[in-house]
Amino acid sequence: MAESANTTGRYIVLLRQGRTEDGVRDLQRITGASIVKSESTSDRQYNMLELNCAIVFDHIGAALIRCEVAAGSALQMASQQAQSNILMIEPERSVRAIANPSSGTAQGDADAQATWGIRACGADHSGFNGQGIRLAVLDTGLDLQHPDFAQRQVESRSFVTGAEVQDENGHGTHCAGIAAGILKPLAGPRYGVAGQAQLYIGKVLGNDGSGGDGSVLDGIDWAVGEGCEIISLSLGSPAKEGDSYSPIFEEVAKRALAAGTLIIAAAGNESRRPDYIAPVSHPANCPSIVAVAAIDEHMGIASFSCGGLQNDGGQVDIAAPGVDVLSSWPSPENYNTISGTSMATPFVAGVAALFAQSDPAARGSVLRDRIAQNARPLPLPQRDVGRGLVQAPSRSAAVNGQDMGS
Amino acid sequence: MTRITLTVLVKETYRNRFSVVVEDCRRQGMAVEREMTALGLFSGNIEAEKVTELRAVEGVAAVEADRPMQGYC
Repeated sequence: MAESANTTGRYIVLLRQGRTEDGVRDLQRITGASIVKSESTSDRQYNMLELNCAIVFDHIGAALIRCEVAAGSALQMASQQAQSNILMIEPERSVRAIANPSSGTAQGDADAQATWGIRACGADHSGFNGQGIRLAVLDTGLDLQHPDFAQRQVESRSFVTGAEVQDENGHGTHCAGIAAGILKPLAGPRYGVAGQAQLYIGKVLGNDGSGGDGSVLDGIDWAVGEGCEIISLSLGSPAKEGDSYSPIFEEVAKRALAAGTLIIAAAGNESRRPDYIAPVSHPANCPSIVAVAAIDEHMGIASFSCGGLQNDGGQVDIAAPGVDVLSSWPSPENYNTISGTSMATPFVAGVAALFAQSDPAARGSVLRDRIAQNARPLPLPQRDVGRGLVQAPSRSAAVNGQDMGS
Repeated sequence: MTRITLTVLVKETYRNRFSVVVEDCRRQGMAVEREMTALGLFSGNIEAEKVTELRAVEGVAAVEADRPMQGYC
């Protein structure tokens, strides 16, 4: 169990599925730690976990513990015994220490080297930058004269009758910046995940921020035809509980996967938590499209983020930073901080580009599985965050990555 | 007459006869505006009462009326 400068002095302990209570008892017996249940854990407790204390995440059957190295070793030995209720223990990596108060806040992003979202998904510690990967952002277009994009080679096309690609809204420029903004922007912190990805900008929403299925499908067709490995859709249409998904979008997503293109879409903003949770919107509710929820910098679910209320595609697949996200904006402002599952989606698209770069075999459904496999579990319901917080690949991920069946 | 905007998905097995399916839908009164050959789709508009006939065209897998879309921020 190697520790390095990139670890936090805390350990993640995986407990045997269905035996969480027994596992917690063993954890206490071996380490003498006092236990806090995640439901009663405030952000502060999570951040400031004291020595010989553990937080148990019941929903995922895991615990976070701060203990002496000797106690950690004892847990490691226990995990190697047959029938042990403690399955695995590993040092918590520093990329996970995003909830630490000293790691900065969204308000502090202007003074940081990278935004909280970039740090949260580990893009700032990934050895990859998306080079050689074609990433399509289908939205309100892009400010083509923006200082952070003016020198980039960007492929673009408008699918909105009578409208140029030039983004007069801001939404598309913000999303493109998150997915593939340059590593060293003109001003402020780094805000883009895959800074060397080849951007394909499809304008499918008008400058008023609205559009329809037809232009979105047209944009998807263009991106697939251009050989894009990833399509980011920060858009949708509200679904009602009980609605089935669109057979056309589902078939399109399947054909795209077969062609090596993964579609990633916003889960939707219709929830008003805690009082009301809305179902995942169209087209993110298609089984073959990755649905992305939004979390805040304290790893809490965003109040507006839609939930996986239905099976058969209606689930949330993964979560990403979507509250107080700084990114590019049309001039003269150049930068803006906004919130939405729209912001979370290009984080996943950008991370997908990093995984695609890390392994030429990671395309289509293999890429989708790779992203899910590497997500960081969160102590939140799967209904809200799916597999957890999206995480960028490290250099070793390219070597060790194995695919899960879907 | 109310016309509705819609998308037609061509069956996988008919994708090599894409243009034939498009023509057959035109004959049913559809004004085809976009042809999306990479994925086997086309979109346009038609009188609302003729949608059922469109669904019956050989090679058509599905027909869906256009939904409005919005950005999620």
